[in-house]
Amino acid sequence: MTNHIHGSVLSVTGLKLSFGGNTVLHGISLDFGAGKIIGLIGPNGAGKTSFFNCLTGLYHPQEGSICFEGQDLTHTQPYQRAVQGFSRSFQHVVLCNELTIIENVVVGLNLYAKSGWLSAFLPLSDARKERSNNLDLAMETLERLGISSEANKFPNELPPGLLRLAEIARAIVGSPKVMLLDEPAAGLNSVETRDLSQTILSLRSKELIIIVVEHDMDLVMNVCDEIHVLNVGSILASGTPSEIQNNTEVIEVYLGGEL
Amino acid sequence: MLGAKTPPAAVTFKYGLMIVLAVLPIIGPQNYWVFTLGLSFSFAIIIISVSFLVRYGGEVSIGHGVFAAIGAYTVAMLEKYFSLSLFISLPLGVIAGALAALIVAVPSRRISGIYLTVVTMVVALSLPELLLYFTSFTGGYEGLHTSGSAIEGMSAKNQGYYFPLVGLIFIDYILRNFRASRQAMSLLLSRTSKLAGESFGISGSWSRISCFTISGAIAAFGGGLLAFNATAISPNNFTVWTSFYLLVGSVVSLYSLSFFGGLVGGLFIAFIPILLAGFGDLVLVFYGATLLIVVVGGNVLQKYTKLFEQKDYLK
Repeated sequence: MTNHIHGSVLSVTGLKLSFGGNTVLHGISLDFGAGKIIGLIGPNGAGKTSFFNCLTGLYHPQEGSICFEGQDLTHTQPYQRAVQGFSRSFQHVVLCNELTIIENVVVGLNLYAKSGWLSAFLPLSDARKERSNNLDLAMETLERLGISSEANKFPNELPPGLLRLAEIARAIVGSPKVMLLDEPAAGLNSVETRDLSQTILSLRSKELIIIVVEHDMDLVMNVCDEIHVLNVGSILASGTPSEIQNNTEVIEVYLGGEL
Repeated sequence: MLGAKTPPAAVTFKYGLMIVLAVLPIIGPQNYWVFTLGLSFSFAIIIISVSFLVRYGGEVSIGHGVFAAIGAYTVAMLEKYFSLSLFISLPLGVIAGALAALIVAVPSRRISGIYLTVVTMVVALSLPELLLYFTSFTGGYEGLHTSGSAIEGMSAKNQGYYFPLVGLIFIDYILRNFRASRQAMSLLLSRTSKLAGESFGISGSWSRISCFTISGAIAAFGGGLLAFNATAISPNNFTVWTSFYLLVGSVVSLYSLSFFGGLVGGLFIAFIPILLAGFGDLVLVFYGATLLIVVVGGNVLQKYTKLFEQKDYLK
């Protein structure tokens, strides 16, 4: 199933997830190829969040597998997936209020940092150099997203739109291979959502798989190359935004004829 | 310039205070109060260890007296049985404290909140019994004595004052460096959200174990200096009440990790009981009232100064 896609592929095969006797995912199989922005949509209770949490490692399915670059990640923890190149944002922005924006972004480089415990307490030259390099990288990322002027502010000093961008900066600063965006437009106004769309489009690269779970149809239709529609734990439809917009089943069960 | 900066007035005050404290035994009277001030430096370090766990781990301990005791008894026993100087016994005490904290942290790494607090309390409750069980080594109820001297030619009184003072300045310095480290930022994100931390490669277990171990090491450092300063230690110095008072000191310092904040907590638990001793049965009532005044006053004061904060990082 994955052979027709070039580059890195995140393959989900026969994913089944149950809570007690309630099955929320019924054997979902999907391939996500690098270079694309892929949307996951569906009505409430469709299983989007459960599927997303399986990808992030928060949930572990009873059946099926999640493979990336030849490695089975099905039962690995979130921090182990981070090592494999997974990164994410959260539905409700999770930044540390005691860290400045740039420090929050620097945390995204923690995986690649080499400095040890001794240099954490003493001003050793190697650690200072690494810290300086990381701050430069973080600043470049903030500049790329247009929020470098907010670098030294604390999260509680900024509006939701900028916090969302800061969170995305943290997610991309480490050059991930898979980026999972969990309802990135949640809590944003229309202007902020439009800016966010442009930001997500600017992240597209040949090496990166971007998966977006989102309720905001304008954002999904604007940024995604492919859309998968979930309904009651199964894939209802897959296709380009225009194909999804014209799919009668999708319109009937999810969009109420408003597309 | 990156990161927030401590206001210049606060920096001036801090270094001015350090200088005053450094010359106090030279220009002032060498009496009981100066000795007690030395004790408060040691308490300040132990209080900072409690605050470290709160600030970086988001957890509350009422068992840190145990790690202080391990530092204290290591220093005292190594002097008694091996005649080792504080310069050797104190680092060994820190290692012992860190190992003890590690032993507590590993099995409890997946529990948090009130459950972890109860675990630390149980550890604190068991310590005096353990010390009494090994009476032949620990001196039992009578405890152990230290010489209070590590440098020939310098009076024991001055050493008992200056060693803890330098120790407190050292802790302030290394924790200021630590705040800018990748490990500190990782711990802070993990404390904010374990899932967010894990999503960036920061294992929740790593965070808990690291935080607890460092905290235990700092407590042992303070405990070792306390044994050196007090020249006598016994199980009565490290009961569960000691751990409660250390937590009170941490609250009074507003969980500060700085020299000044730690000192406020240290002064509170070293001096207030002495100052209130004349109130007889009402001591605890006045102690509570004083605690309330200090905490509320401290919160108000914090809005106007940054003395309690460690923000002059990332220069």
